[in-house]
Amino acid sequence: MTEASRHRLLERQLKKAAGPDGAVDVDRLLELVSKAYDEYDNTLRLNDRAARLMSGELSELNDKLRQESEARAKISEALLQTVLDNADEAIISLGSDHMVLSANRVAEQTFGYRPGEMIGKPLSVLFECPDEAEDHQRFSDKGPQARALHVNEVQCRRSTGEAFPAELSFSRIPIENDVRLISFWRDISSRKAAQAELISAAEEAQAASLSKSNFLANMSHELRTPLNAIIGFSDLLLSELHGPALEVRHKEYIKDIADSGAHLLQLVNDILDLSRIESGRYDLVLEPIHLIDVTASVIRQLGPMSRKGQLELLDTISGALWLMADRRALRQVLYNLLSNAIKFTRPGGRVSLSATRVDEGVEIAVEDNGIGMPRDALPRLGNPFEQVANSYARAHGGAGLGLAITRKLVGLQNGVLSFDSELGVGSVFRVWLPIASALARTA
Amino acid sequence: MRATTLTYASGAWTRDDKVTDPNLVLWFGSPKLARDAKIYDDLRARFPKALIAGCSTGGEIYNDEVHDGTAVAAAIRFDHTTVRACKVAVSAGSDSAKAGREIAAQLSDFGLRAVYLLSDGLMVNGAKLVQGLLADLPPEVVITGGLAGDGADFASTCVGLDGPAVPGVIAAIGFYGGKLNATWGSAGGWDPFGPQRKITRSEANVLYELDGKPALELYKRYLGEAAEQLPGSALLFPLVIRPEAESSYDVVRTIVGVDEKAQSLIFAGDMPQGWTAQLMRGVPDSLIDGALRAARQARVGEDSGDGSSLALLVSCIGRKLMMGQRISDEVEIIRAECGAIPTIGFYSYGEICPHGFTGSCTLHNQTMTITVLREAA
Repeated sequence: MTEASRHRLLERQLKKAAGPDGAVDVDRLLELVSKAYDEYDNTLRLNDRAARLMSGELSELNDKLRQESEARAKISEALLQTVLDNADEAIISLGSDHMVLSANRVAEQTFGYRPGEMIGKPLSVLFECPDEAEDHQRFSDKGPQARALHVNEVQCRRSTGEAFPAELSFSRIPIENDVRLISFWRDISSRKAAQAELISAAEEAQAASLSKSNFLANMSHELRTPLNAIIGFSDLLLSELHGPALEVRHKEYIKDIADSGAHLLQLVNDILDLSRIESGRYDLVLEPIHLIDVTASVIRQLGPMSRKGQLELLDTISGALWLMADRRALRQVLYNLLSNAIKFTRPGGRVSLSATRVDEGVEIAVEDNGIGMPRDALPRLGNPFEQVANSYARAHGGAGLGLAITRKLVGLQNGVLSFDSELGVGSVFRVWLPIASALARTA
Repeated sequence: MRATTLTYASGAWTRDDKVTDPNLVLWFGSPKLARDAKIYDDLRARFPKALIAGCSTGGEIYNDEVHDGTAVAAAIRFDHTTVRACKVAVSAGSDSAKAGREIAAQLSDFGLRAVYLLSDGLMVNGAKLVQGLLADLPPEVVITGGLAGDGADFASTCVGLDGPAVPGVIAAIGFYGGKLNATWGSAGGWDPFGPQRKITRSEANVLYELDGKPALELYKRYLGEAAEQLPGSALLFPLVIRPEAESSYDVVRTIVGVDEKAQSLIFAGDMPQGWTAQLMRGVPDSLIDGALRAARQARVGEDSGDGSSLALLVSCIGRKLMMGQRISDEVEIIRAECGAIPTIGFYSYGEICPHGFTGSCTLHNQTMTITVLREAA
């Protein structure tokens, strides 16, 4: 063996085994060589052992990971099954060939198939119209990568051949090189039926209301014509312009006819007003109105009535108060409130009219110390045909329409009607109406 | 700069007149020789004016050879560089970071370019020592060195500065002046294997549990009959630790002690709880390859080998235990790379060198670490 071809380690060992004279100590050399073999064996053994242990540890960990992922998969499978079983919607998964892969219970019930029967069926059997099925197949192929596509209303077909409307949405789930489609179907036939019922009920109600208003308007008109004749001729008889043809007793009777006629006419007029307002045929013109112009004329008109009732009618309104209102409606409101107050106030009592600026408006108050109303009756006040049960009120007649009309008229003028009353003490009615701006007044 | 190497044989240092009035003499001796004051006394007698520092080892490197039971030294004459040294006393369990800051305070001065550390190998948390130094030194200062060794016994190490070596000492040499050019390289060559384990219980450099199980048990299982040689044999399976399983930052830690009662392992540096640890194993060829990488990183090939530069090698005792008689191969391959630069070194309980990835100094284990000192003309 040449020196050059010796292993480096042997070379080193020879050097270490050499004595000072250069002669190799064979025992020393063998010791070194043997030690090197041992070291080699040990290294091999240790690495072997490490490899064995490591592979054991890794396969243990691998098992653990697999078990964990299997457990996780089981949980999510159970979760999914629960969701599928309890969903309100029919959920059908399809392969990229549009064949049913799975269908939940609701799907089977909705489409009328036995458990498992839908699997393998083409998507098209679920549609009423084959064209629609093709449209959706194309659409679902192009849809976004995941999440629900937009909801479509489609016509479906049950296994019995019965057609029904449904809402349909698709989700597209890419799986490796394939695609799954998850479709969600909601049978909307009962919802559709309910909607149709609601619509026809609403239409009927509208038609009924319209015919009622028409009927009232027509009837009022038909009633007024003969009433005018009754009032006119009884007034004529009473005026004795055609000679004193009557005995005193007859005169009393005719006066009763005239009063009843006038009362009936008022009632008919009220009904006519109310039906006009309700059917939207009461035309208003909102314009700047100088309040005192309206109140002065109403007070003047009611003067005789208050004198007849032997009570004081006090008007404290002064100065310039401009309102945004309809002249005729405002007049009617004030007339109704004041005449009511006069009507329900005993002789010697007092009815007062006042007005103050409140916020961006004017509050007109009609206050009396008349018979008043019980507090618990106030919430019903102003509903048509509701008049507080009260012997005094009943003595004064009326169908409770005046206040109903008043409230509606105030509302039409963008105002608010409020009131308060106490039995035996009196009532106060307040009408708030928006103030007319300076700009509107000069316009 | 002139440097030359000496060995201690038959009770005396070899004579070499290449450098007669060195500023600095570094020596590394076997545990038995290092504890003998004669080593130092002889050097002092020959070099009365030099700064002399040394430590005990787990094996000595002299040029291209690895020895046991010897001592080696390098005598260096700097032309433009000033050297200054200090030492700090430590005891078991003392604050290593504080020791580091003390050294920084003593050496910190204008022109400081490099620090070479020789530390007690058993009473010091090398990672903390380095952190302490880094905290108070400018980042451009190169810090290298190593922890003293005690063969494979892990019983007692010693360090000396201008005096005989004794246990519980950290010596630090500071190099000042713009002409000093210190380069470094560090590499391991160990291969991580098996599962990544989480450090579930640790305190500073004491490791109790990995993945909730006693760490000592794991080691015994992997070592088999070699478990009888603990803690030394644990060096055959160092741990690579990372902040997280996927971190690109990692550092290798090696065992310096075992506590059977607490079922714990004591490491040369911190084992942060929550970090990930993975066992490593070595085969001679990959460790030798690691040494070559360290040499290339330290750019030893640029030097002419005429004595104007010096290579200081600090390699880990674990590599020596792993490679047995083939350990000389890692020194030979460096020698083949660098030519005839004067080279000394030792097998240590921990290497101090900048981290190859972050460039920031840290404690290494199981590596070959090379520091090359030279002066610009």
